[in-house]
Amino acid sequence: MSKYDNALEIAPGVYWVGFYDKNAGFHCNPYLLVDGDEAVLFDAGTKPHYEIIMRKIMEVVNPINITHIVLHHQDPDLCAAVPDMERLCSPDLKIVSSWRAGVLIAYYGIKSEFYYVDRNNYQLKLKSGRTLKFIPTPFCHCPGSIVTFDEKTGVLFSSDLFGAFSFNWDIEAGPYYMEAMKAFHEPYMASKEILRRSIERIQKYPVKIIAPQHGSVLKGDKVAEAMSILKELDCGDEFIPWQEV
Amino acid sequence: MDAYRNLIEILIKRELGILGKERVESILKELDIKFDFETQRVISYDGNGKEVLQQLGEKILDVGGEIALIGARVTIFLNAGRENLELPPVFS
Ligand SMILES: [Fe+2]
Ligand SMILES: [Fe+2]
Repeated sequence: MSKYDNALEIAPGVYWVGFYDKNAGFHCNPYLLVDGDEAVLFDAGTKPHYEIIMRKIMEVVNPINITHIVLHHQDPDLCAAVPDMERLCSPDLKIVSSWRAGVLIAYYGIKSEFYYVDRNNYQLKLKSGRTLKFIPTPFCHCPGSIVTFDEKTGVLFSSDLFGAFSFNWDIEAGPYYMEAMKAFHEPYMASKEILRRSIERIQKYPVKIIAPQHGSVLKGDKVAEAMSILKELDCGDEFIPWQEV
Repeated sequence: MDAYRNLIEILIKRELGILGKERVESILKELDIKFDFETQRVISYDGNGKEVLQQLGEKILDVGGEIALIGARVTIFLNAGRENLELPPVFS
């Protein structure tokens, strides 16, 4: 029995509902935000882990309370579980994404209606009045990539940004996390300039906690440290040693 | 130790993040590379640095697979280029 067998609260009302495999070098982290009788799921997860994720969601809320699933881009590690999940969520469930990502997300066979952030002033107001702000992070790593900032808790749901490759995984980032984070970004982000522009956009928000879709949660001084490292990171096309063919 | 010390050090630091301290410690022990975890500096290794780097790369592949080495490739290439050092085959 490990603490990772259950949902974990990473900020008030914000839960990690992912899977844990001690032999995996790569973890996917869906998060659940509970706001009164409404819940929002971020980067829902993979098909193979659907049952684990759903069990953890059910520890926290009845899935019928999930009114929104935010999909920060179109990758299968965050979208593939949605067709199974949506059957248990609110009948009014909305899939929240950028229009650019939504065009591709639709191909998972998702039945729910889309809420395009770029057609809604890059924000979503929940019933309580709580506002989620969406920040465009184009080409980090997809053209329509976005991240979400929750004003109430200061949590940034950062999707692939701030993620890491880590075999020694823990929910909270440890002393060697920055190296693991660089390892993930160097071969994965489009270019240094593109990454820098997205980080500068994010830095305008009072982020207290970073909850990435891979790797571990960043808190305290690690938030600013991670941002300044990524802003200067030599990454992407101009630095990847492509083999000429 | 030789000109490859810096690259070996960069790789070890990177793998502390990817593989974690326990796995890295056991790799270093096997290859007889002495590393100070406090200062994050290589203290010593025996033999030719390029060969040591090859052995280290092979061990990393054994322990973590491709994912563990991919996470270090960009920085190793970049630093080898800056220092004008030829990389061993495990990085090609
Ligand atoms: Fe992705
Ligand atoms: Fe991802």
